Amino acid sequence: MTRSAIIIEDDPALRRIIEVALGRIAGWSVRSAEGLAAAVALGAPAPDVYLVDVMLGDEDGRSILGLFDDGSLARAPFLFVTALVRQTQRAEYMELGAIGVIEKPFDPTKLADAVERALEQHLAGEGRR
Amino acid sequence: MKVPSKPENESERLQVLRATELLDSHAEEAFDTLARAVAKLVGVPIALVSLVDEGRQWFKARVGLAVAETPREIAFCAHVVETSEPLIVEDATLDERFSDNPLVTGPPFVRFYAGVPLAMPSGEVVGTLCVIDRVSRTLTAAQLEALEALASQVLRLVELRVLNAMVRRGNDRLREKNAALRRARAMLDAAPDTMLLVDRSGRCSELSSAIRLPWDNADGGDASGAERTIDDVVPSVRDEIVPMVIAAIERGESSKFERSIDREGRVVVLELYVAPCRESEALVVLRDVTRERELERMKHEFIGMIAHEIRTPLSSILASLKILDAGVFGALSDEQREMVSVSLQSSERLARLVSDVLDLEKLSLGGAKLERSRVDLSALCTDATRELASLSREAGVKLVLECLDGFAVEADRDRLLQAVVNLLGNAVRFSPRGEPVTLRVDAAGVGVVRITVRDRGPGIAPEQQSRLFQRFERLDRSKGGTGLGLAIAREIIEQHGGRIGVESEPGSGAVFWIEMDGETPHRDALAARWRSEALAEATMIFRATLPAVRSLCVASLDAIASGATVERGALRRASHRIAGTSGSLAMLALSAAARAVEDLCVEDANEIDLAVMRRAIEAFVAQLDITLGDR
Repeated sequence: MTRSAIIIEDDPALRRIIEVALGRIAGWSVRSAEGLAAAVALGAPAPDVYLVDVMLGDEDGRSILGLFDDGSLARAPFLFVTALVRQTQRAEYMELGAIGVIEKPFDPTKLADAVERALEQHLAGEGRR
Repeated sequence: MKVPSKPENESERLQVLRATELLDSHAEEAFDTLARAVAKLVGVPIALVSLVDEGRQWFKARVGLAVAETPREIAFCAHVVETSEPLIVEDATLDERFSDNPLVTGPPFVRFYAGVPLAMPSGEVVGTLCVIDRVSRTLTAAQLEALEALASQVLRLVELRVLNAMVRRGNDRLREKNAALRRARAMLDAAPDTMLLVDRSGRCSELSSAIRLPWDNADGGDASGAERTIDDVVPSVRDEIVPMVIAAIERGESSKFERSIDREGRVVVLELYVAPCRESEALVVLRDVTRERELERMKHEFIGMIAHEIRTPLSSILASLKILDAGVFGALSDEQREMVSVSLQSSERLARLVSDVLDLEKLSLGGAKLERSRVDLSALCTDATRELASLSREAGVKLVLECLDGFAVEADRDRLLQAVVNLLGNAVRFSPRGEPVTLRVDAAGVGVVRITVRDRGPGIAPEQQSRLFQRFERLDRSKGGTGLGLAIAREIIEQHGGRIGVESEPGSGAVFWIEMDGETPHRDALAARWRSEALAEATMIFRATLPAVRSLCVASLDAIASGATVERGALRRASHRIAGTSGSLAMLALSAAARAVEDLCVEDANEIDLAVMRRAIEAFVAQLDITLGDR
């Protein structure tokens, strides 16, 4: 099954790398936006997973929760992308509802696997409920 | 002529005389008036106040005489000084003591002399009050009495002089002291610090004040003079500083801490330095370090920003190179692959350096507070070896973990892990291919945890060991470290209140160690571990010797069979060595057999039944074979 992802990342270089990592390497269907507003503009359909940078220039990646709540963005599992975090911070992101945290710098050849694992774990958890 | 001799107390007398500061002083009206009065009273032309020093008499006051002094040997007054008694000579020409005295035979042609001693309160006679006439005469009792009365007046004048001199000298000293005090005070005031004396209860007195204190009035002085405590200077600091003051007073320890206070709406960072000073008080130096701290913060922020700005594009470079390296866009030629790999390695190294610099800055700023929790060391060390798994695989180094359950410390887990990983990574980088690196957790004492990382690398010379934990100290640049790993580890461990160090001898590897207060397993568990390790080591040594012992025994059997002499000494030593150790059941049996062989060897050679000996050795060898088979 081909996965679909939406990347929300303001740094064009990193955005391109994630596109290659998920699209070219893993063969996913990938769309990307440089910010939350741009992501809203992408419209339907909802992806299998969002990858959101926490620091999006002027925007805060964590505001994605508000967009889910007011319906402007289709709800889907999401992972935060962030520079080196401490364990406590990671826990904080998970409590916000993220299914995983991708720490920068990451190995692009292993990114798709990491996201896939987080997604499967999450779906398994959903299934049990 | 009789030359007057010196009194017994001559040296004290001279000292007292000099203290009067009268010798060679200017004429004074008070003394002169007394001399005139005494001349008139007795009705003589000459009256003198004579002071006798080592070699002369000198006249403080004189009436009717031109000379200011005469030698002591010919002085009439010197006789008064010698005897401390009044001297009356009615006609000097008729007195054999004076008849040939030059003062009698020549000017001023003395005939009559009457002198009374000037005795200081302490008894020393410094000189006389005397009258002289050129014709002989007598002195009535009333005149002598008057002379003595006037002499006591002279003495009073002399004593006043002495007192005056003392007061003046005292004043001079006070003036000097005051000047010195003013100099010291000026120095203290010019110092950029505020200095206070603080006692055990926190009461303080000000020594100097660079920082304007709350009670200072506009002139900078203490307006009220009321009793102050250290809390009046730095709010609610007393509870913290009093133990340090006591430590300074009782044990001579100095200490230092910082406090931020709000002063007129501005945050001021004060450094308080407590130093031993006096028996009942400690010196507290307050220094305004606001600017220093601000500069440090700016420096750290700047470094942090630079590092972050480097890291972001660097991660993109790394990621792009990895994509190329993975052949996502088609297979690379060997040359392309080599270039990509060089770029990748250099970028990775740069990334590590940036990350280390950031870590160290964060740590030394102290801004990143430790998030302490109970950290199980067995799990932590497992994680550490896992993090190093790929590096050690590439280096062909085996990571060995020796840890028991029950070791734990209160620590910031992420940071402690980083410290251990840094030590481990360092050991792996310096290990020759094929040699193990051992990570071990042990107890350095009850409640003291010791983590060691042992490598079998080239070791470190003693003179390099102290430099090792400083920033950018790399012994071998080819090893790919950033030179910051050990500095970071030290920073982390010291922030936890622990100790870090290295023990090494060149050529025999190095042991890096960390010691921290923490939980250690029950001592029985530790004892069991140490016992089993000791046993394992003994067994290893023991087994290594067995084959040699066996061949010795077989040689002995051959010797017995062929009727030759058995080399008993060697046989006995070998069996003795085995009998001395014990362990598993097989070894116990072997020990028993060894003892049997030894017993045989002790007997005199002629009395031994060689057949008995052969059987014992055969049984021994059989036992050896069983033991050797255990391996």
